[in-house]
Amino acid sequence: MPDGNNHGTNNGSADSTRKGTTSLREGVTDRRSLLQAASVVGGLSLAGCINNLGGGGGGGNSIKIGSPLPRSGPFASYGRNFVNAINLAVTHAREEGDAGDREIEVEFADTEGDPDRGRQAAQELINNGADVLSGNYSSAVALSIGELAQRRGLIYQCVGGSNAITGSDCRPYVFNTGNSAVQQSVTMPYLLNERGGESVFILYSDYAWAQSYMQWNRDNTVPNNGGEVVGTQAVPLGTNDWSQPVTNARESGADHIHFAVTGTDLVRGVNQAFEFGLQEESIVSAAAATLSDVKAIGIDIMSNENFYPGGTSWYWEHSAPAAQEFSAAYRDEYDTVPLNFSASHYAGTRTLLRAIGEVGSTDPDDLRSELEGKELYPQLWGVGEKYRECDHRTSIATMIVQAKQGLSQQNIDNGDVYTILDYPEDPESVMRTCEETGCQMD
Amino acid sequence: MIPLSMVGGLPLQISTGNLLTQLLNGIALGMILVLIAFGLSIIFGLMGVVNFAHGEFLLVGTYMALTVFTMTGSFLAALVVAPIVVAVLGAAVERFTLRPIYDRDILLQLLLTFGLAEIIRELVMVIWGRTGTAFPTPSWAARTLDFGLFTYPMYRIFVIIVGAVIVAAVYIFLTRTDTGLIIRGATADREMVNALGIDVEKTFLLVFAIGSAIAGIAGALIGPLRSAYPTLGVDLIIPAFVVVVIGGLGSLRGSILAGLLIGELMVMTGVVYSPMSNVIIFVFMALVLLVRPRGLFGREVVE
Repeated sequence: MPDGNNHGTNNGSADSTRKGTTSLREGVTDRRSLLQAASVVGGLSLAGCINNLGGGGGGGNSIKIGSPLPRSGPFASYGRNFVNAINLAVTHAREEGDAGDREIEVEFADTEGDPDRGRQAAQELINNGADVLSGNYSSAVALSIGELAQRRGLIYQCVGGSNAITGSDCRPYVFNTGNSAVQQSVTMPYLLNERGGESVFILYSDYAWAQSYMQWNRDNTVPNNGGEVVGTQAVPLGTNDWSQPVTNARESGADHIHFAVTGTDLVRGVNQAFEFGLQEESIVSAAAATLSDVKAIGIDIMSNENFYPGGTSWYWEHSAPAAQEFSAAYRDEYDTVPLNFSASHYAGTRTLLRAIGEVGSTDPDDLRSELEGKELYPQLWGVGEKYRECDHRTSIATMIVQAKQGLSQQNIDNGDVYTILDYPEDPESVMRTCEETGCQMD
Repeated sequence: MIPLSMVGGLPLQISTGNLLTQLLNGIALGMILVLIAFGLSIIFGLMGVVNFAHGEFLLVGTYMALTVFTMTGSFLAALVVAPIVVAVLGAAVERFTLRPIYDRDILLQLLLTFGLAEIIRELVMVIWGRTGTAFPTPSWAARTLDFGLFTYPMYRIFVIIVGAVIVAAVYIFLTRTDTGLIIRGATADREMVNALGIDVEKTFLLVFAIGSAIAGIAGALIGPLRSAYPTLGVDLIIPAFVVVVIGGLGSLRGSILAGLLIGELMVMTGVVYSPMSNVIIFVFMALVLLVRPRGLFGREVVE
């Protein structure tokens, strides 16, 4: 079952209700089934009451995690992987007593990858009694849910590369377990130093994260590594036909064509760039290609020596012991490999649950103090990563990757595709300083 | 701050080679839109059915083509098999779901085709998987052609040519052959054609199968350009509806012209100010409808 244990329990209760009503309908004369049905119905409504009491209370004996994730829309394939990660975090937290002897419950809601819909999903979860929020994919969604969580007084664990989340729009109750656009800007420096060339053309999706990433590369990382951004083009999210932007990039004659684009947009963009032969004159790279993107980009492009899928915030073959353990558990349970942000959501959720265990409540102010400066558990990056106190961004290390030598279709189907070329041992060295973030928390 | 390329990309400063490439990009995109809109337009124009499942017919075409291409290694075989499979699917949909409700409220047709779209998409995901899959360009077309001033991907040229041939063939079939005459006659006056001893039900089945087959070909042709993924049909159907509306509901000539026009409009808007390139078609549709509510070639009243 891909949706894991939460789904399972839901199904269970639905089945027992159905059984109850059927026996009611079939014969009320049968006293035993009537009693059975009554007890099932009674039990359900009682459980409902307990839930409602627990919700929002915080100090109670159960914790409810509300998890807004993209289960449909352009990021749906990521969403399914994250659902698994959060379910696994909850299972492991129960086994290891992360939050003491409290019951841990999780409810999911669909953000569709859209900020407005995401806020509605989070609102539903809060109304249903969520004590803390954990999960998202895009930066725009993180910003919109973050605002709501702050206003409603809940801690929110998210990912999202936009510098605003942990900069100009940082919030006391929002903690970001993903890498920022600055931390992600490791690909262009690596390529400029290892493959040479100077001129860079950046094609970027027209939304929060990609704008941040493009600007940081244009103004900092590229010039600091002897390069120059000779052109950029914003491409609307959801663009199908990339012939125009790709032609524009080719016309620039740049040594490097860099895509600050993700998901199906990246797949189409890169495919069409190769169709127009950009790889013949330039090195084509992406900011970050996830494993599901890689499958759709296909083996021919992936194994081209002039293509780099970019940096990934984490890769399941990472050698850190905790990473190996997490990957093995995830693959055992779900028969697929965890995506990069699944590691973030797993570690973020468990760290949050441990913080709840330590402070003994879900009070947002107590949790905030506990989480600030707290090392993530488990250490999936193995670099002492923690939530920085000043901006609530984790100091995780972005890994620069390339396709494995002799990549096969079977490798791609199994998500066994990358060689980690490099990653910073001291992740804080590639983060903005606290002053640079511009984050002001009360 | 305005990114450099937006200023540098203004038509006045564009090189001839680049301008020709962008014009060709517009034609290639336009031809894809024409192919999708053409099937929709035939089914609507001749049968009065708005087929919301058209995008999913196309999706089945893409995945069928990918399967055949992977199995046989021949893209041309894929290009033949995909439309046949989709035509059979379309015929089955017409025979078993649409036919019983022709005389009922039009709302039922909309709900039916909308529901079918969901079902077909789910089935595609069950059969071929939920995540996208690469659709390689056939090796004979995976190169760029040198036109002197500029180079252009051979596969896109192939799409333009095949698209033009199919549109022309179907257009001639409908306007110049006896069967085409019967089809158009059946649309204009169903009872009269029936009275002449012609099986109208069979005619409608044929029309729906032809429209579906075109969706199948479009799906196969689009595969190498966009790769295969479950929401491909949904992504393409909205611009296709815009094309049909701008061209004039039910007008085949209108669909062809509007498709090419919108292709150029999207690409050229991208050249000047790219963040607008996806929105522009809706702005254009609104303007056309304000000035000419029935679209470019629409009839005054659509029955």
